[in-house]
Amino acid sequence: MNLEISIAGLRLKNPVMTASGTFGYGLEYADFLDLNSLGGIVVKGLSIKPSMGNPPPRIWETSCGMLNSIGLQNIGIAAFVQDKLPLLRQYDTTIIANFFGNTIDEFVQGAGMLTEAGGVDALELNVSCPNKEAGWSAFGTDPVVLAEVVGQVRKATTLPLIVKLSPNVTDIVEMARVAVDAGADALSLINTLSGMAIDIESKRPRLANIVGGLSGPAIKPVAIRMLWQVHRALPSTPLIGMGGIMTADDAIEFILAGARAVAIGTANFVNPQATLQVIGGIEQYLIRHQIEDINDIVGGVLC
Amino acid sequence: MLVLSPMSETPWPHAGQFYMIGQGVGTLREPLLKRPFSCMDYRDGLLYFMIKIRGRLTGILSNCTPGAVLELIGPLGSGFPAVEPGERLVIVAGGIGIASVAMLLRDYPEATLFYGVRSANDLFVDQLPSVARSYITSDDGSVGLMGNVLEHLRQYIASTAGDMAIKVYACGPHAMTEQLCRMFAVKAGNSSETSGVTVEAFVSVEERMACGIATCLGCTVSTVDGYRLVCKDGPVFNVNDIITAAHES
Repeated sequence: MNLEISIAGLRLKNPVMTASGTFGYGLEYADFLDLNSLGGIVVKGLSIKPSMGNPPPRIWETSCGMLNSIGLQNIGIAAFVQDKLPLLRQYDTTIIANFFGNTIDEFVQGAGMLTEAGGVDALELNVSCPNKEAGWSAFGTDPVVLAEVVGQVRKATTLPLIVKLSPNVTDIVEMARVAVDAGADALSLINTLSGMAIDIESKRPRLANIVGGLSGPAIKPVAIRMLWQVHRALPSTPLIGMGGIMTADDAIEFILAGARAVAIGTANFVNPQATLQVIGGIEQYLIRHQIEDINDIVGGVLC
Repeated sequence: MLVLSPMSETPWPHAGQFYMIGQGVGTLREPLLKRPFSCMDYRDGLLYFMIKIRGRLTGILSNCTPGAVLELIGPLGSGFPAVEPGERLVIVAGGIGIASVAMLLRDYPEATLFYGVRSANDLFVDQLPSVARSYITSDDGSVGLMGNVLEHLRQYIASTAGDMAIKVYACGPHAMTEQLCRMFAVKAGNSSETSGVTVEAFVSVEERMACGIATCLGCTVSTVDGYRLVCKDGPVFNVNDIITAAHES
């Protein structure tokens, strides 16, 4: 049986990765599972300077999901490269650095720093965090700005470039096309949906940031639909599917919709070993359906 | 009281440490996320948790029948620092905060306890280890002394002879934590001078968290060193390090 997949020249031993922002810098989970088992680790979104993130409270659990407004708190690229990357590199897995900037220049500079560091296998361009200030969301929701940032970053790196798309747009296919035309090798979708919750007793928002990003099983049907639409429009573009995957069955759904790989996010919080269970369950599914190669079912939904 | 028997080998907790507790594998997980609970005791291979029914998960936990399987991660967090010889320990609990300090009562039987509740119905004393001196207060006077527990604490400290340094270890609602910070925090140095008595205070802080293992970054608390995580850097903090909302305004 073959679980190995290829994305933009990267070979992953299996299609299961971790979603940025839910797996720290990877090392935090070494006590819970063998990191060598993972297809890839996508680290917490990095910026050229350390970032404090948003004030608390930052978390609110909703029906079948959770809202977060962390605000891209991170240690900065320099500290990541010096303190975390050498330790991560000891594991036999693909290391993908998610990163962001507050301006196009910062995106370009970040891409350069991560490329020069050596040891990062690919970049995931984060243009889709819903917890940044209002103007920032243009990177992921305005096609002209998206084309500009992807194009500039493309010129700044030789690494495979994955663009993580925002679902908070009218036409996901248009945004996917723009990203690919500007130089994206692959696409990750979806990031969290912008959401809000209110404490009716105090009449205050549950999050200090007022709005946050909704993740978890609640968003899975939206993610599957968007992934399927993008796969149908851009069948040759490698897609990494994410949004509420809790089990192997959820992962298979994404793969049938057109995902070549999947990322586990909120499920890591619920169960630190969720990724391993998804990998095991995918194997069981292939055995049960007598499928030799995981690649044979990518986009295999019958409709 | 929730009593759990670990199904695999696990280190025993220190006073102030906590566990993430959620529904077991194979169940329909709703709510999804585990919640943090302070361990209040361990003995004979069992872990003891005091659960106050507040929301969906605590409701489910309270309906667990013997033999139910739950998922636990822990012990987590830093716990309370050890009390040095020559120091007098004063333990302060507000409401369900008693769960976070309960192990201190066992570890330091010579300590003094201040335990404040809203009314007699909120009081939990059945399985608490007894300590040398206990002061129970209630807002409505239905049990113990009437009034705010911190007012009684203030009077106690003011009347204490200054021969021994005092450590105050506390856990309670946000408002109590903030008031303790105002009472005992000093701008520089490690101790505050209250009528000649040296007092160093630590509080166990509660904040919403998704993971408990420093990856969701949800449980931040404002400190003099910037945001720190309750799950990893706490839950116990020196009051000197915490920046309360009142200080910011």
